Amino acid sequence: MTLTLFLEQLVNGIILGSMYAIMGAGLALIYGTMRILNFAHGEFYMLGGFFVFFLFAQHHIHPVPAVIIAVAAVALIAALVQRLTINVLLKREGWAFSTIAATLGVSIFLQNLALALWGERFQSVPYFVEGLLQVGEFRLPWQRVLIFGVAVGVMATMAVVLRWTRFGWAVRATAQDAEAAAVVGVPAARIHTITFALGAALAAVAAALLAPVFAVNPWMGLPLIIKAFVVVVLGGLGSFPGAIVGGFLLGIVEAIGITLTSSEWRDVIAFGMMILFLWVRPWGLFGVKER
Amino acid sequence: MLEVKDLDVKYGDVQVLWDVSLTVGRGEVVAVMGPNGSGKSTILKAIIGLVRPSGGTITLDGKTISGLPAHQMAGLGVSLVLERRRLFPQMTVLENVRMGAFHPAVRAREKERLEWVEYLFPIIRERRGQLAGRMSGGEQQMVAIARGLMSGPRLLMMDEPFLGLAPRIVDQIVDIIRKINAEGIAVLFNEQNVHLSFSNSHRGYLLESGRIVLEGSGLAMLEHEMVKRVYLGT
Amino acid sequence: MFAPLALQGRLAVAALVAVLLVLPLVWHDTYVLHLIILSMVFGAFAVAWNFTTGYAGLKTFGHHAFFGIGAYFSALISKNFEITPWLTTPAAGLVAAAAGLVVALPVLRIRSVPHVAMVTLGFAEIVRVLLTVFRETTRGEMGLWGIPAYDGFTIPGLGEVVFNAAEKVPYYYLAAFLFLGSVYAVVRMVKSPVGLALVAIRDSQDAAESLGINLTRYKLLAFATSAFLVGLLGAFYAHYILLLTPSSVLGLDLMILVIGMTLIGGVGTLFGPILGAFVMTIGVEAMRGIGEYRMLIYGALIVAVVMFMPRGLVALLDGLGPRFGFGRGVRMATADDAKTG
Repeated sequence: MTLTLFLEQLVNGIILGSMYAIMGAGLALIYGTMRILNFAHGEFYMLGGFFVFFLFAQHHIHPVPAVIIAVAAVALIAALVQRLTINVLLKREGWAFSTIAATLGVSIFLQNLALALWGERFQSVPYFVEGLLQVGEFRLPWQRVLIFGVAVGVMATMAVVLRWTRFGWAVRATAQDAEAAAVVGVPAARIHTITFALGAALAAVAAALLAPVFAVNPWMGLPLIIKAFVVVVLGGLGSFPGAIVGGFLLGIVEAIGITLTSSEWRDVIAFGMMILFLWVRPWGLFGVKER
Repeated sequence: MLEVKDLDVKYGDVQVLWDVSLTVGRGEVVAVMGPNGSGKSTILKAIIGLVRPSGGTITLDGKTISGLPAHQMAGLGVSLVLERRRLFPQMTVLENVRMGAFHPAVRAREKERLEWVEYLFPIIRERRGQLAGRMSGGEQQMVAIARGLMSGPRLLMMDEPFLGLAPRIVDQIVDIIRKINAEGIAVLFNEQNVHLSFSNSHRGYLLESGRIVLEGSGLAMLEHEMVKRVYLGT
Repeated sequence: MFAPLALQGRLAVAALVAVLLVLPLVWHDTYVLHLIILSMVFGAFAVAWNFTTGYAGLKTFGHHAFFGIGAYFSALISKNFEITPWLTTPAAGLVAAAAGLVVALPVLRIRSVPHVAMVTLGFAEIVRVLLTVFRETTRGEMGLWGIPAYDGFTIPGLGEVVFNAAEKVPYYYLAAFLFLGSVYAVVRMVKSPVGLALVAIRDSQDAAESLGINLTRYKLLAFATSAFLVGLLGAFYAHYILLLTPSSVLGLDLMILVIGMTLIGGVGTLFGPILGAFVMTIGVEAMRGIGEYRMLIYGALIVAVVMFMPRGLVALLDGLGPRFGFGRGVRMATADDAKTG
C-alpha cells in the first residue's frame, strides 16, 4: 500500500466519520434530553434520502433548496411522531422500554411505507457537484469535500446554538434536570418535541449528503443507526460533543482497520470497538459516570 | 395570597396527602414541619404543578392555579427551590442563575435581578464560570435560591432548604430568608427540625402522615404541648 | 400469576394442550401445520425472550443472535461432520447458552436500558456480520443449503417416522415438544425460588440486593437458560426449513418480529408471548392478500399496542372470566428504569 492510498483511506474515514458524528449527535441529543433510545433514527435518515431523491433526482430541483426542504420535511414528520407517541409514553411508567418499543414500531412502519411508496430498488442520486480535487497524486471528489464541509458547518452551528442561545440553554437544562427546568419556566414537552425533530433533522442532513454516495432504498437506515449506536456508546450516551468525537474516531478506526484487513471487516471492527468500550468505559469518552 | 384547600394527592393507588389546607399571606414566612415521608415535599410540588392533585383547590390571589403546568408558574410569581438544590450540574453558575429568568414574562428584567441576587449572594459573581456540579452543598444552595429569585417571585417556596448543610451555612440561609422577606416576598418552606421551622417563621403547620394536625403562629407552635412532647422529647 | 393457577386456568391449559396435540391427526392441511409449527417456534422464542426481559428485567434486543448461533452451529456441524441433527440440536442449545453467558457478563454491569439494548443488538450484529464474512463455510447471503433433516426412526406399532419437507406431522410433534418443553421450563423457573428472586429483581434492584439475593448469579442463569432454549429453537428451525441466510435468522427483523409478538400478546406475562406468536404468525399470513402492506400494518400495530394496550391482548382475556389465571399483576416499570444511563 502506498502512502497516498493510505492517506486517501484516512481522509475517506474522516469524511465518513463526519457522517457518523452527525447521526450520533442527533441520537445523543434525543437521548440526552429525553433519555430515550430512538430506534426510528435510521428511518428518519432514510426518509431524508428519499426526499432528496424525489426533489433533486426526480424533479430536478436545485440541490440547496432540495436538501433544505427534505430536512425540514423530516423534522416535521419527526415532531409529529414525537407528539403522538413519545410525548405520551414519557408520562407513563416503564417509559424506558415502551419508548424503545414504540420507536421500533415506527421504524417498521416508515420502512414499509417507503417500500410501498418507492419500491425496493436502489435509487441513485447524482452528485451535487462534479469533479475531483487533486493535490499531487492525492484525489478527492468534490462531493466528499462538500459532505465534510456541510457536516462541520452543521455541527458547529448546533454547538453554538446549544452553548449560547436561550433554546440551547433550555435543551441543556431539560436534559440535566427536567423538573428543575420546568420550575424555572422551561416547557419541557415542547423542548422534547423540538429536540426530537432537530435530532431527526441531523439524520436527514447526513442522508441528503450521502444519498449520492450510497444510493437510496427503504433499508438504508439500518446500517447507519447501528453505527450511530456505536458512536454514542463511544462518546457517552447523550453527550453531544462525545458523539462528534466518537463519530470521527469510529470513521478513522474503521478506515485504518479496513486497510489492514478488508472492507468486509468494517462492521466487525465497529462493533468490536463498541463492546470493548462497554467493558472498559461504559459511560463513554464524555459521558458522566452514573450509578 | 396563596390558598390551598382540601388538597388530596395520590401516587398511583397510594394517597399521600389528605385534605391539606394552608394559606400564605402577603409577605409572610410560613413553615411546614413534618417528619420524613409525611408528604411535605408533595405539598410544594402540587402547588408548583409538578404533581397533579386528585382533589381540592389551589388558588393564588383568588385565581385557581391547580392543574396548571409547572412551567407557567414562574410567570405567575411563584418559584420553588427544589429539595437537594437540583442545579443543572453541567452548566455554569451564571448559566444556572440566568436560567431562573427563563420564563418569557420575567425575561425583560433579567439584568436588574441578576444584580440583585449578586448582591444577596456575592459568591455568584466570584464563581460565575464554575460548573455548578462542582460546588459544595452550601454553595449550591445559595445558587439554587438565587435561581429561584431570578423570576422575581411574590412567593418563594423552598423544599428542605437546610438539608445536609453545616450549621454555619444554615445560619446564612436563615439570614437570607429574612432579607428576602424584608423585601416583601412571601416564603413557604419545609423542614424536619422544630426549631428551624418555627423560630424562623411567622406561622407554621405540623404535617403528620399526609394530614395537617396543627397550625399556629411560629411562637405558639414552638410552645405547643404536642410539638414539645413528640418532637422535642420534653 | 405466581399463585397456583385456579382450576379454570388449569383446565384451560389442559384443553389448549390437548387441542394442540390432537390437531394434526384431524387436520391434514400441510400449510396449516406449517403455520402452527412456525407459531410454536416463535411462541417459544417469545416466551424465552420475555423471560429475560419481562421477568429478569434484562431488556435485551439481541436474542436473535442465539437463534442464529443455534441454527448455524447445528446446520454446519451436522452437514460438514455428518453428525446426526439429533445430537447437534441439543449441542447447539449449549453453544447458544455459552454465548449467552458471554453476552450476559458485560450486560449485567450495566443498568441503563438503552445501553443493554445496544450491547445486545451489537453482539447479534457481530455474529451476523461474521457469518456473512466467512462465506467459504457459511455461503453468506447466498444461503446455506444441503442441511440434513432429522433422521427417521420406527415407533413400534405406529410405523416409520420420516422427516422431510412433505411430511409435516413429525416436525409438528417435535416442534410441539420443544414448544411445550420451553414453556414448561420457563414456568418452572418462574415459580422456583430463582423465579421469585427474579421478580424481586424486576420490582426493585436495591430491595433485592438488600435481601442478599445474589443478582448476578440469577440473572446469568436466566439469561443462559433463555439463550439455551432459543438456540434449540434455532437448530430445529435450521433442520426444518433446510436453508439459512444470515439475514433470515440473524436479521434485526427477526428480533423485531419476536418483540412485536410479545408486546402484542402482553409483555411480562406467561401467556402473552404465546398468544402474540400465534395471532401474529397466523394473522400476518392471513393478511397475505394485502401483500406489501402487511408489514406496514404490523409496525402500526406495535405502536398502537404500546400506546393504547400496554398490557397486550392477554388483558382482554383477564376480562373474559373470573380468574382465568394468566397474565396479571405485571408492572414493566422497575427502579432501574428510572433515569440512568
